[in-house]
Amino acid sequence: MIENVTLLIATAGLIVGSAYAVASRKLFKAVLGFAVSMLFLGGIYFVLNQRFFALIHIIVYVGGVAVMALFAYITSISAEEVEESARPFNWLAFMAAAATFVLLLAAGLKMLGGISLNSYKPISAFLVGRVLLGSRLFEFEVVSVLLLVALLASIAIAVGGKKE
Amino acid sequence: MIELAVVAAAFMAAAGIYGLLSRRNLAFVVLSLELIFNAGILLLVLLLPSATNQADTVSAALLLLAVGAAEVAFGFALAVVLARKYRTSDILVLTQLEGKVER
Repeated sequence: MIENVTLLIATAGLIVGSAYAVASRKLFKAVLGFAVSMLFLGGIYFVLNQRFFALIHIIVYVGGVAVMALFAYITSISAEEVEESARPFNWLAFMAAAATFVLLLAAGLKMLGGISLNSYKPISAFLVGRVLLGSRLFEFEVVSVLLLVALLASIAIAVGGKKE
Repeated sequence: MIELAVVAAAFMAAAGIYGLLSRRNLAFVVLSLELIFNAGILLLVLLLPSATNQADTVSAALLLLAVGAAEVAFGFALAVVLARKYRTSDILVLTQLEGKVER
């Protein structure tokens, strides 16, 4: 019962957060909406018994990505560049979004089949660590290199732009 | 009740698609991309019980999370520099810079 209520609240929060992130014209408000939606997404993972994954998700997306977006963007450029001017409602984008929603919902519900909330068993950090440093070591190293390259490239781009 | 999570994933992807097609600021485009990316990861986690090796699937989702973080870091670095250099993050204006950028 409590899981159902938590899932309902998390889903509602995620929908409101993502709608606010997409609809807001100011970057500050959009990032706040994004952070809220990611926080509630962590809540959904928590209800699905994936506590370790939920924790990592919240640390990376709320603590890392959202804070980085706010600090990197808002402190480095002027306010008018982080605010979009009002434009007429984009019906084509809305139709594409509606089609995505319907198709994904139909496919997701069909794939879920007989899965219920009780079907989700907790996966511990120990098990994940054993897989990452065992059978998935190559993928783990590739992602490590990718993160390092992204870090170095971001620094290089930012420093290069500052010099000019 | 688990269907609610599918609704959340579908809505997040739809919101991302709407943002991707309707916004012109690079920072908003990166945020919309992240919403789509996270909808995919949520669907992957939702299908865990039907996976043969669940720990393997969670590991894959964790690696995808890292890729998403790298993508957003690079996207924002690019947005900051372009805004600083050309005083705009409008992707349509930036597209017109093709061939005119000093090297």
